[in-house]
Amino acid sequence: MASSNANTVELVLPGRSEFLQVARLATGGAAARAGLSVDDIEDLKVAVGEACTNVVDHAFGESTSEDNRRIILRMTVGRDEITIEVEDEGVGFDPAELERGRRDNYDGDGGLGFWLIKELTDSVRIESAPGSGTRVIMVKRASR
Amino acid sequence: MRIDTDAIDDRTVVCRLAGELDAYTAPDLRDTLAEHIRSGVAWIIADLGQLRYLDSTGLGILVGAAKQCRQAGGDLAVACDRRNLLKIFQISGTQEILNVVADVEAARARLQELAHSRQAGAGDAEEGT
Repeated sequence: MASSNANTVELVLPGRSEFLQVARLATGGAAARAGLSVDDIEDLKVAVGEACTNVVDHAFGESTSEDNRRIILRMTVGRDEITIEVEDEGVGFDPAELERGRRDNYDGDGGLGFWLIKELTDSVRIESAPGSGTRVIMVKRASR
Repeated sequence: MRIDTDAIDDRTVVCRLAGELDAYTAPDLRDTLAEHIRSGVAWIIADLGQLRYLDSTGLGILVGAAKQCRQAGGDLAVACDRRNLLKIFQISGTQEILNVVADVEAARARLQELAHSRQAGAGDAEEGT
């Protein structure tokens, strides 16, 4: 279930790589509003960028039309923390597969993105199943 | 992202990257580096001094290019002193395979050091035969 409240910003972006920068810019603005430091914001922009890149690269089947390739970016600004959801309506997957993305398997051909998300956020949760889309929920708190 | 290249000699170039390196811009870098390697370049310095953003796709391009350089007898070094980018190299464990150092001068020194050690290694192997 998507979470939102009066401090939630929701954007729907085309699921194409040329819009990744837009997702990062929006993330930076919302994270600044939440009181995160410049360093924390840079970390979060990478994490959100990786989640959105996963949507662009993996979420949609060949038969998915351009109009249906969307990234939903939902940012809930809290006091000294922000929760960001990156959601798609794509093919979904078994989250257990992400174990393949560990750093020690990195060979320059991909698989590193989820590792970066885990390392650069305070918590991350993935809701997905084959055929039912994916939601990545990340929380970043202001460093003390 | 902007990519400017300076040739140091027939086998060595410095590629200066400015802007943001992500899944959208990474193909430009991949094509540029591949073209240099095809034309005989084996030693590449990737100067990230003006790069503001780097993600796993960009890292993959750099790692792939480093492998190609090594196959051609050379190597790749990254010049970078930006804290947010250094963190990405550190988390991904790519600092060593990408020879990450602070600036272009240090990168040149690192590549010269690698060239000398390989020449010495080749000499030792020749003596042993």
